[in-house]
Amino acid sequence: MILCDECRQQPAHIRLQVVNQGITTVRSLCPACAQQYAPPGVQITFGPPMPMQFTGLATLQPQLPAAAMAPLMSQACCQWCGYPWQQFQQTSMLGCPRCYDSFAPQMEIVLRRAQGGATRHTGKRPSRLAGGERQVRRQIEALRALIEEAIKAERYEEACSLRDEIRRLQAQQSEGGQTA
Amino acid sequence: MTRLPDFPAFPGPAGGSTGPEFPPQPDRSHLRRLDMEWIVGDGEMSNVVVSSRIRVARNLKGHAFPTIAPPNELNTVLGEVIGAVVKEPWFADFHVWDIARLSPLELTMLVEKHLVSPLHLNMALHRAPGRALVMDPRGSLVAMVNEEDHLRLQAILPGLELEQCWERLGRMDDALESHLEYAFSDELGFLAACPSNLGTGMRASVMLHLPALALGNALESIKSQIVGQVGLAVRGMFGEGTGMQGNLLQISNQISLGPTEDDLIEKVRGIATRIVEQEASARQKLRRDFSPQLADRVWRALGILRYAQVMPAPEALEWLSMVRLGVDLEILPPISRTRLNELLVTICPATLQVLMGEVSDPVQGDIIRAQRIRQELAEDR
Repeated sequence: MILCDECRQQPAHIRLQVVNQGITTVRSLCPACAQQYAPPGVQITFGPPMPMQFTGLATLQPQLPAAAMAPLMSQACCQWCGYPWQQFQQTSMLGCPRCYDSFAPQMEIVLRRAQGGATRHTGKRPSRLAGGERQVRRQIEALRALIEEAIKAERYEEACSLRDEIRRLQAQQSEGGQTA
Repeated sequence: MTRLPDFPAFPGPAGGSTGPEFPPQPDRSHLRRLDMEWIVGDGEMSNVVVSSRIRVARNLKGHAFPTIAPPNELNTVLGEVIGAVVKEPWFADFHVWDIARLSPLELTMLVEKHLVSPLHLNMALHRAPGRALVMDPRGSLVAMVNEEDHLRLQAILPGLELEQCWERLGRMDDALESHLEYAFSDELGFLAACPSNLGTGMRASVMLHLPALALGNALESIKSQIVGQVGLAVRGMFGEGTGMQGNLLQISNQISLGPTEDDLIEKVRGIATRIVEQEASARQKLRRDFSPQLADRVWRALGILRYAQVMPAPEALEWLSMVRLGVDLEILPPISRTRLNELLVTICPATLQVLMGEVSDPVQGDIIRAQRIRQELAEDR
């Protein structure tokens, strides 16, 4: 077991590559000592070895001009959980929900392959976001049930006005969807 | 230098004082139940569609996925889910299982009953922290906690009942969501650990029994029909590389982002219906053109199952398929679909041992399997 370069007490689960003016140094650190290298707001964490061997590779780059950034994409890590892009390439799994933001440019290619080109969700939304939408949907369902009853009882005028009400609600629904 | 709070150098064993509090554990006898709705019940086209299943993947906002989340984070997620279940009246009759406390046989039984995934079983066997199971007593609705995603919700029903599955599953989803905040993006839908589960996070599947098509050597062409359609996958029921044992085939959607939930259900339902029709005409043709051979085949199968003394599982599945066909076509005396569905589960190693006693080698297993089958299919039952 390798001990941390800094404190020499905890096991070193994190291999940190520091690139400064073209010179790369590698330090083996424990999560606590690695934390000091993290930019503000970034937490360095280490995941359990199962089901795969993940040894928390965190690569931090000092500010470089945009042109030099491109070849470094393969060393990108999630800004929130530190999960490296390379790990995704090996396991096809991400580290946290925010990885989708951190790796947005690479995700486009991945999605084309994994989801047959589709890139936009059109299905169910959480009710917290939908808010009134869920209510509107319930109203429409209730109205549909009433229409069936009206038709069975041959109250066709009633069925017609119920149908108009549904159309009105559906128009309201699609308007709401645009602003979401 | 900042110190990370509560961070173990190596993840400790599960079930320690760091775990969340589970509600009192249900009676273990519930785990031995065989009255699952998909086993006992009836649904549309039950003579060909054994069961329909829908599962969705959900994750909680602000937490790493189970793939890399450390034990304390997994336990936090678990604690939030347990909190939601305990608070929400919709879950009043549900059981919340601390699966780290279950025996390997009990856990494997759950997989054999199609209630839990092999991955979840594996985690539990390794006593990985933060894993749990929330289940209604008849196993129609199941929520796995911290499988590949924070939540894997599943509904499984008999026959071709995908809409019913989604209706019930949707209610469980809503019940949980009213207490939890899901990770959701306007563009990508419900966020999942694996991009192949984005969007709806839905995998809709049906299990079909196709003995007549198998006898007519048409299964390969059926497979190509399915795979030819974009976004559908087909496999045998018993895992990779086992082929279509027992003439049982599972069809599911592959794409989860883009179409709505109803679109995906319609897609799977559509292909299932077309294949059911083909099986139905294949059965009619067999009956019409090969009646004596067909009768011989199914009666022999019943005879072997009624009297064999040693029965390996793959063989049992083949004979059971013929018996099922014989019963469906009313060539054989009536044997309830419940009994036949039950046998699909009870011939599996863990369930078999729980019912008939533990064995120490495969041959012993084949002997008790034969015994069980003889009991269940005896003439006087």
